[in-house]
Amino acid sequence: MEPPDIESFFVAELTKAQAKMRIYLTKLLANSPSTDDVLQECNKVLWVKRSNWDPNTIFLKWAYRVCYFQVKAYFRNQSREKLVFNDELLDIMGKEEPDLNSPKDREVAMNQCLQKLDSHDRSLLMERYQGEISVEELAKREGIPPNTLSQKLLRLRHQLLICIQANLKTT
Amino acid sequence: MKSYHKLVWKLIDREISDQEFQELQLKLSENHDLRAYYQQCLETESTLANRHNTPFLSFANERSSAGSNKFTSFNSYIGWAAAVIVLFITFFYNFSQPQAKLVASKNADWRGLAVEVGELLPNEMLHLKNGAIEIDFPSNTKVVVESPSYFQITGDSSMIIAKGSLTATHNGKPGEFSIETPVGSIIDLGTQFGVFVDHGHEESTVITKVFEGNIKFQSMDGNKQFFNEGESAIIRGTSKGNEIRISSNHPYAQLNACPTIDDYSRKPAKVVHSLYGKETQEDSEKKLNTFDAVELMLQENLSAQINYSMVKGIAGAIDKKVQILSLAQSQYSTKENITFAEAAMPEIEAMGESIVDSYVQFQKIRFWEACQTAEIIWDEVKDQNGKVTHRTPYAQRLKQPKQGNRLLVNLEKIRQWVTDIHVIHQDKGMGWASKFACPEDGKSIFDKRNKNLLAISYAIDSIKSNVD
Repeated sequence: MEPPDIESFFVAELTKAQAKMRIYLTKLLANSPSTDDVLQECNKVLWVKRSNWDPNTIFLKWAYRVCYFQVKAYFRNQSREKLVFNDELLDIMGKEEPDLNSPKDREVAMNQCLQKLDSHDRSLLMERYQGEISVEELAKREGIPPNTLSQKLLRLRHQLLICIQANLKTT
Repeated sequence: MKSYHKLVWKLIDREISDQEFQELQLKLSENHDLRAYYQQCLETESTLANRHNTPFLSFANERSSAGSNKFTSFNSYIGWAAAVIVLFITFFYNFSQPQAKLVASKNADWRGLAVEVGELLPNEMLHLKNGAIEIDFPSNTKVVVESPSYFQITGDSSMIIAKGSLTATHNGKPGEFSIETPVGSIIDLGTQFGVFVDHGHEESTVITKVFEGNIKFQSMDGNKQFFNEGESAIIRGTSKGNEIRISSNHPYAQLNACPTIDDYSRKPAKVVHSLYGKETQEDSEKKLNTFDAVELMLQENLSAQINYSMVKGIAGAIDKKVQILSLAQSQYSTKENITFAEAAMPEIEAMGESIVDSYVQFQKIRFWEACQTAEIIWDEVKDQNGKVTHRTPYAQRLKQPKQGNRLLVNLEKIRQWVTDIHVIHQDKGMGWASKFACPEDGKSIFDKRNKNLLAISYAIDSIKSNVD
């Protein structure tokens, strides 16, 4: 076993990388419900292979490569997965460089953007993302067809994304 | 929004048709900007999904965050992932099988490993996405875990909660059962208590409330604090143990007891125990809904909190007197050409004096302390049945300030009353205000009132310009 300080450093790096790794996997897996399972597998592989990582290199780049091969392995073993990108696109997206900015900047920008939304719209978004409630259930409660709500949520998220990008550019 | 952007969102929502998927796949292969958009969408999704991890968001916090350096230290980004990972590592060193058994469940929906009623819970991080479960530990402890939660049973008398909420009832030996949280351990001293865990990008938040008996909280750096029946705390910090902050008996630290699985569905009707004695859920919610936005914005600024409490006290005292006088004015009918201002002259003069010749330096009061410039908005998290599981308050500025504690509006009212008297005095001659109809005596009163009016106006103008 490595000296505790190197191990702690590895855990800190792995911890820090979790959100980015999940986004990376979500992208390659087309937001498959199995994303968390693949992430957990990636964590195990990274831990087992921790001695292969050179602490002088960017951890996230190494982690992305491991994640990429785990995704390929997952698709090989899961023929029932409905939305599977072809190898060419997987390769293109898999090689894209990680964004090394802090997720906190985005969170701050998003909080500012959320406050600009109408309170009902904001509440809808929050419930959808934080309440573990499905679009169908939410639509039923709102008294509108699920498709109408889906479209509304789609527009709101796009609006939010544009606002976040604008905010990030100005900070 | 372009049509391909819509397809990206449909892909993320998993509502895309096969044909649309093929179309999008082709476009993604050839269009770098669209791939960048896809990436941005996923980043936004991730931030949205984790946003409730910013409890007690205020303008002050936002400002300081916005101006912060972009560098993120190794220790700073400790979110839910941190807990999962740290515990994941723990997994590699702890292979023993605890004897904690799942004895009941209600609409349990697991992600990853699923456990059935009657089975022993494995020593692995478990993800309960929906529903609730009841666990019996050999230590004579019962724990009800409510979704969404990440937790791990680590021994016959210990568990980790990485995210989510639980109620533990320990009838065994005091000090035997413990719960690890990302900020420290909670050790049961023969009691029933609740724990709620959530995370931000920088730190974790643990809320604990003792329903019966008492507990001990021990932070990573070894600091201990005891909590007794009815007491609660918000504990914030990182799993590295540094910068642990404990707010005892904080008004937002409200948890419902859910000692058995049957209480899970009945939760909204449950009685909430609090520091102030027993109160109904409705009372508790009312109390939560009525705290003021400024208090939220002044978190972690004790000096400002004390000043604001004093201002509120002063505002309340003045308002009480102004309301009495206003009521009298509304019921007054002019008799023999004596106006209300004339009839109530002693009371009005006294009010003016109290502002000018006061212990309080009114001109130092800030605008937002003297009226309402922001309101509390609640982000509600609901379960699949539409019931609110927890709520997060944040302050939102009002486009138009409201009267709030009415300090400013009352000062203006007092100034108006004093002005009315002053005008009458001027009209009726200097001797009017003198008990002896003496012009010199009256002139002295007039001059003094004039100074008071200037002082009141100065205080009002100062408050209006103190907008920091």
